[in-house]
Amino acid sequence: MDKNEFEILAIEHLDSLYRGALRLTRSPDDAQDLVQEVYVRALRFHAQFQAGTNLKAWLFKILKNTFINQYRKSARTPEAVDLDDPEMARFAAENPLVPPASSGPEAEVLNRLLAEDLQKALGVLPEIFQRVVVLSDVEGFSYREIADIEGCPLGTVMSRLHRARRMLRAKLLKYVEEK
Amino acid sequence: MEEKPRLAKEEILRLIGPYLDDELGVKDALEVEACIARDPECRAEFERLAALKRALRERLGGTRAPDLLRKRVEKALRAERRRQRRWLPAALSAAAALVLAVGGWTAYQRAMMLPSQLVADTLMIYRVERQNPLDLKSGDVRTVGLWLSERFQQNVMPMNLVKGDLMGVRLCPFGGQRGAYLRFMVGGRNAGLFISESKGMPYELPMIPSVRFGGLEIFEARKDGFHLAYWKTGMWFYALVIEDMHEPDMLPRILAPPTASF
Repeated sequence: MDKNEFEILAIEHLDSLYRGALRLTRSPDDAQDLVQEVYVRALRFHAQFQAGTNLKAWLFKILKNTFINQYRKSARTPEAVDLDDPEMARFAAENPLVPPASSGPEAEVLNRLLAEDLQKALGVLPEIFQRVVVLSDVEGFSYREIADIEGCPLGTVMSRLHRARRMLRAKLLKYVEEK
Repeated sequence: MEEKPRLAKEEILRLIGPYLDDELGVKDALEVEACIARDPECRAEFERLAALKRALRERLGGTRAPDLLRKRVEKALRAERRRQRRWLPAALSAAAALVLAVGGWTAYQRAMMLPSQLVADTLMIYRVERQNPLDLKSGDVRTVGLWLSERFQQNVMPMNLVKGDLMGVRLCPFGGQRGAYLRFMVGGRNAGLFISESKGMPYELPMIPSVRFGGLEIFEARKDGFHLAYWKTGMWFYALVIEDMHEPDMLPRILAPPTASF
């Protein structure tokens, strides 16, 4: 794939990358800087991209690595989160996985949610859980692609996604109750 | 009779997410579908997850990059292309310099250094042959020479070791060619001299010898406490191995010029 062709195909994923960058940086300005850097890097290393594989997933991998290498230096949330982490345990205790019984038909509630509610609920999840949810449910990546982007085993993607969705649901229902 | 589910309900509930993500194999997917159809809890979980996925996709998947960003990215990519074009000649020059340096080093090695394979093979053969019994035990160079010439049907220009005591000789190939191994003791150290036909020898000696002595060009190497020396005369290739000889410039004091033929 020559550089022209690569550029044309890569630019098609601008919106997705911007969404991903926005979620990582939580700042429109930083997100734009990050996306620009991702494209420059992608062009610089475009020979490493294997034609026939998923370009969008490759760009997201660069997005994540660039963010970790550059933007994270000044970021707030600790990157290393695992399920045995005390912080995670506290989060889990404060955010029970089982939705409140009084929330009524949950699917109905979820259907009425606004983008702000979702953003807010997603924003309080530990970052590794936010990422898998966004990559799967917003960007539509397969588990295999997410594992590749995140650099973790397929089973870890499955378990993180399962846990993240349950946390998110619990959080969302709590918001709705409080409204 | 109704088929019993393979998976426990808890496991099926856990698989509803992967089912919605189209990540299950056929068997698991069918089992999840059956559970959704018959079990209210499974169906509720399916509906909740489907609603969540739909909400995320619809509410958060619509954010678009600002128009300005597209222009910024295109501009940055043009700048990157220009930068690459500027760097290409410099990179090529650096690559050319590297090629020359590598080429120079290779030429230097060809000129000065013995092939490492020759040194390694010599030591390996020496370690084997010094253990083997001699075919002829004799301290007399002429006797050994005559014995060899009978076997080779050729005259050999010998190289005696002035400070060495010849112990005897044994026929053994060297470098894949027919040859012999002469065992010496040099100042209490074990030593061995291999003589073999140089024609067809797989090793190439360097261009510049370590030392010139008695009309011979001698190529030296040291490895693992062994001192090695190689030279050619006429049709013969010589490889000398001396154990534990660390003194520099000993070789001219040990080697005697060829004085006789046999």
